[in-house]
Amino acid sequence: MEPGTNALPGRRAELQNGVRATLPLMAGVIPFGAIFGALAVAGGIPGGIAAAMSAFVFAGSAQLIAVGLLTAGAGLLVVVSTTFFVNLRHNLYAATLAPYVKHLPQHWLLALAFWLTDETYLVVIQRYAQPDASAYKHWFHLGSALTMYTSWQFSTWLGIWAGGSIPNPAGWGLDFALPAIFIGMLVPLIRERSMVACVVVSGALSLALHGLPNQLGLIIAVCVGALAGSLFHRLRRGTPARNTPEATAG
Amino acid sequence: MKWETGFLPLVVAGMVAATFISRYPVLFLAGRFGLPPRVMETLRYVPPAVLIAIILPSVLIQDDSLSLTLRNEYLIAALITAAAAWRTRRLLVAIVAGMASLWLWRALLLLAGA
Repeated sequence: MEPGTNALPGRRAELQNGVRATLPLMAGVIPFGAIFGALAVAGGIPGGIAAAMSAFVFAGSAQLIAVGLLTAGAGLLVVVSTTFFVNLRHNLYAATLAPYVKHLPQHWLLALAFWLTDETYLVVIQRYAQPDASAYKHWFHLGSALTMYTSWQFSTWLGIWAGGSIPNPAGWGLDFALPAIFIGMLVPLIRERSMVACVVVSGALSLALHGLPNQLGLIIAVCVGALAGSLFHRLRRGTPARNTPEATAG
Repeated sequence: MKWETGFLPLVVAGMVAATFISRYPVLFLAGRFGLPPRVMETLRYVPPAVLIAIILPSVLIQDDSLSLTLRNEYLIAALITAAAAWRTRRLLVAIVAGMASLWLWRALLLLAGA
């Protein structure tokens, strides 16, 4: 990444860069994990169960919602199906990442899929999209995933340990850390008018649909916003020529 | 404990399965069979769409309704974060500027008795 060096980074350098690129996000992830642990314990869920959720499910929003549902007395089917709907957005991430990881062996795909989160997706997609020919971009991905996983476990334990004794985290403004990070990541992405179109549509829908349960509003906003961006791009570029090889071959 | 023995481990196992099927199959299948270029082109817009769809509701929806006033300290802090990110292109600078402006604006609101 340093200017002036032409050599491509090796496995180790990629791994380290992945860790480094993910570290700023810890300001949002650690309070979030601690809130999860503390709420679980406060709701009567044993610490071991909360820790097991973080270790084996590893899906922040779904875990937090599950705690809410469980303490409200929801049954197995409700919690599991809600988890499914809350995590639907991962399918979009997986589809975007798939072309970059398809050459990897199964155990890599399984591991990277297990460790897929909003944060890691948003960090690593930018590395994959860089044009350099590094053969080890998946090590960057691994570095980001391990950073997220480790901090999620650590912060869950912190929350379980502190129990309900953490004074209202919103009072400290820590609930703004994650939005602030995401703003910092979004601004450099907006380089074309089609990106503006995408952001305007997705943003407006996310506000209009925020009342829908299970983050369905988010999924709809993202799908329609992405379609709008791509449509805008195509319209501005003019209708693509029809005599492309795929058209004649088809 | 208000749950029957074995219920919570079962919930965790169910959640593991529900999460796994939302992460792995598409990663595997889309990689194996490829995606049409048009879909690939659309997927390029997923990151900014996700970011804005997380940012806007958490900044503008306060107490379940849209808040577009100067008394919404999250809105002010978000604007300053965006300005810092735009000017410096550095994530950490943007975060620090955002958090600092949130605390500052809160203090100002308190002083103003708002």
